[in-house]
Amino acid sequence: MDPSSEGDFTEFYDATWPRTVACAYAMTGILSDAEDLAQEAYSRAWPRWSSLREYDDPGAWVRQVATRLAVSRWRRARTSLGFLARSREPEPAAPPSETTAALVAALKQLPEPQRRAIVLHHLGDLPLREIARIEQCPEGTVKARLSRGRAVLATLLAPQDGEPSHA
Amino acid sequence: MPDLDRLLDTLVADVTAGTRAPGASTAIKQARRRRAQVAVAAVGAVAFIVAGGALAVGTHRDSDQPSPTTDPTTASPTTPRDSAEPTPISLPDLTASLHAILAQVPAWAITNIPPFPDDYDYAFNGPCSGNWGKGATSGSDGGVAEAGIGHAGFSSEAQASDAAARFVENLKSCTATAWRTRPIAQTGSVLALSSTGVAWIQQNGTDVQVLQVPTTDGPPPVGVQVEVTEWMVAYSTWQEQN
Repeated sequence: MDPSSEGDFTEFYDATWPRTVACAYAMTGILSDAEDLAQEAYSRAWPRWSSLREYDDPGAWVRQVATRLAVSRWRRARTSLGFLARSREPEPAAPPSETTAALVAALKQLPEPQRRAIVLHHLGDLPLREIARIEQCPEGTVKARLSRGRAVLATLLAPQDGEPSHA
Repeated sequence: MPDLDRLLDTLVADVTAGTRAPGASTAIKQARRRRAQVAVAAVGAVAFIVAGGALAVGTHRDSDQPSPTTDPTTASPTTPRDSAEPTPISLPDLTASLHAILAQVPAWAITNIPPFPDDYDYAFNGPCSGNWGKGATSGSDGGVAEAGIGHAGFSSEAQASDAAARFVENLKSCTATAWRTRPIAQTGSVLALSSTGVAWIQQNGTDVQVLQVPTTDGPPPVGVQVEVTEWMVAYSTWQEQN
């Protein structure tokens, strides 16, 4: 690929990195894992960059891959991306806000398809049609998952007696 | 009712504040390294498994129970479930990766065929007293690159953990082959050593995997041991996807 491609890719990477990590983080709840997954997704994007750069939203592709990797990772609860982990010293990250911690905890309680739908739609900005294609299910099923997921989150995140709301 | 969009915005803001991007150049290097590994292996990779004297090329089998290694059948679906997204992991990539990890280790080599003695206690289907895989709901064995690899699937991680522990314990009872076991640093996996082979024993979620290579050189360097454990996770993911 020509040097301008690397420049484009770097620009794309820098612009989309936080949201990609956020998607993976919403799935895993562990920031360092989310960063590894995001980096892996970008490393898969680079060989396809000449076509991905023509997409309306190439970031959606990366977020989808990161989310999918997160599902596998979450199921395994193990890391398979040792190269990156070994190449840098882990730095202590600032703890998330109470709001985010509560949201991530609530997301973890959702059934996986509902969580994936919420992350892909609300964080990944993927349209229902695209999620349905990825999940190989009807759009109505995605809608139902989103609806149920949001309802469960509403219950889980609702203020308890004597506790402030997170919203 | 909580405002979900606002909560998610807060999450993104938190992540943005706390994340540290390794950089696009690192991602590009990772991609190039992966491609280079494939190119190297395309020249030299030979997929085989020697199990009880039988040679099988690229075999893979699923059954209700871990099966005898002398009876492999070929069934290796590789079609991705979602063709719109390029398959994250492919068997050729995995074969190339494992070959790249194992083929050029200084002062350590895989033994040529025939690797194991006739009475070898093959560390997967045999060992050796008791049924380590009892309760397994699935199983397979096959060959990738220079290694034989098998897995047994259980219905819970606790069952898999018990089975892995049973496997390691049962290895002590093998008589034709003397196995020693040791933990692999910081991985939770176990390396089993004999005078003619090395086996990695690893739990991945509800799976127990055993990867075995013939060698008379003892354990490979720790870095190689760890790389193989990471490869096994990737292989397990591939199995799940396919």
